[in-house]
Amino acid sequence: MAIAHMKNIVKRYGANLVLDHVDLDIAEGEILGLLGPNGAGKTTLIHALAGLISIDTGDIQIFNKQQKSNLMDIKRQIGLVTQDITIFGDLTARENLEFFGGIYGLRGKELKERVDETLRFVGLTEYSGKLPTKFSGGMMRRLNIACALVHRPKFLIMDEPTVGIDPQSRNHILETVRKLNRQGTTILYTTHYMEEVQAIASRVVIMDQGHVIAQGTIEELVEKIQHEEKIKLEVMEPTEALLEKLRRIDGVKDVSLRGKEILIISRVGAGNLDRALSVAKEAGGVRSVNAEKPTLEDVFLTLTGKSLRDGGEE
Amino acid sequence: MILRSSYFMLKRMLRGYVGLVMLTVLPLALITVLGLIAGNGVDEKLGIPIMDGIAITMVFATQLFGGNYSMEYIISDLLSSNKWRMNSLPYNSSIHAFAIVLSCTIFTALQGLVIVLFTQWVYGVNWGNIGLVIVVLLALSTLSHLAFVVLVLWMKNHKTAGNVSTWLGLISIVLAGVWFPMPETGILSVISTYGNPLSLSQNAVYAIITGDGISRGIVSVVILIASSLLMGIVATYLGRRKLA
Repeated sequence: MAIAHMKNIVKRYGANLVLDHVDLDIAEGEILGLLGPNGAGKTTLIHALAGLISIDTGDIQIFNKQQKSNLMDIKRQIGLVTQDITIFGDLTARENLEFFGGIYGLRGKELKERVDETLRFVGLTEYSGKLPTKFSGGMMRRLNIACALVHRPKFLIMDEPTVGIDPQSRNHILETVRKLNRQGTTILYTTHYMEEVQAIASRVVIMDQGHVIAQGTIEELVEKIQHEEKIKLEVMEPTEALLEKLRRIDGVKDVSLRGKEILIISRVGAGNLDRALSVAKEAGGVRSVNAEKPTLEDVFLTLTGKSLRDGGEE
Repeated sequence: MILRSSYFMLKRMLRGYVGLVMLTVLPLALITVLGLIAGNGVDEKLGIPIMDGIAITMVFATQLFGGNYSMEYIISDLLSSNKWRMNSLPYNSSIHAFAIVLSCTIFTALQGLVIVLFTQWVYGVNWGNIGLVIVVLLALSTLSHLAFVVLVLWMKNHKTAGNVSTWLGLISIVLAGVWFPMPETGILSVISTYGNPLSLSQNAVYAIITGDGISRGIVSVVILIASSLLMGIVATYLGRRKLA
């Protein structure tokens, strides 16, 4: 069952078409990873879904209700983890949660219990009485997430929740996301860290220039470009003549040089690993060879022509 | 929800030590120093101790800048990146803005009242009717906060809004003749007497203390309250446009 359904979404900012007839369904209980390069429209899509901005045309339903006419009701059941830290620096961690919990209708004993539980969940119980200005980046990110969880949302939208933090804090956050999902929360997770999507997402949507260009499980997406394989050859003497010979091999799509390492993108099943090795040996010798199966990074590059980390995030 | 938001706003303001120093400690310090310099001197025009005039002017002049509280919190909560979090809540952002203005107005008026009571009890300053002083403080504080909010909602650049509001406060102080006397005839005289919030507040309190210019005092209070109401209407209109 779809917890959120977006159909034919169009959004313009002036003459700039940011969302171009986007369709997206989010199934109940899944972690949906949303990937896209800078300017793809991911944050605009999230803002439209969370009811923060209006759309020009299209239909959004959440929890089987029309978003437009049930916005407050829907907002009570969703949580938004913003990309920027959006907590009150002059309220303690506990007070931040009490404020937001109160907005969501929690009161008295229920609020206190929920605040305690949320602080435990994100590992900030010890720091509950401290102001966030004394926190590390990772702790602030955890509090940022906690403020979106205090009311136990059915649907959690996370906009790059791990930007600018250390790997240990990131792993803690990813584990938090998995725990939440195991407890039944549906999660929409945007990131430009491929490894995060691979670690937690049950399904991935790839966006570029306002369109959804591919969606599916990681295996399904890799299948889409299974017709390619990557061969890395480290050679003794990389020359332009060698590169040219490799390009002329039947089935080879692309040859590029990175230092002394030659990267060959070839059609799968063409038997080009042996051919490429022969050519390289004749030209001076091979130090190492590595054949790789396509990864999500490759899917992204193939479908968009861009590396995910080009130019950072919107 | 307004009460709830106001409660948290109060906590935030009490932790804003800069604001507390600027709007309570600093005016008290200036009143003390200037009062020591004035000694037992009497204002010839008003017939009241110069110390009393200093305290009255300082308290009301400080209120002119109290609107900074509302301005800063509106910017921080509703016009910066925090707005995405606030707008995702099942909570009308206009209500949060109202809670900010309400709690900040009362807080700065209370800061003024602390100075009033301190100067009355410690320095023997005659404030006349404390009830009237509270009404004037609230009206002036409301006007200041709403004016600052109108500026920040109207202007695209928040820094410019801040600078304009500071200049308006300073111009009000100049027009009230605090630093140098204003002409006693012509349009400037009218503006100096009835056209700026500081003079209006002074008129009201001096009328009670001296017994002179009662009608001027009443008109001044009416203008203060009417200006606040008008500013409230403008702020509501701009708020609906910008925060909806």
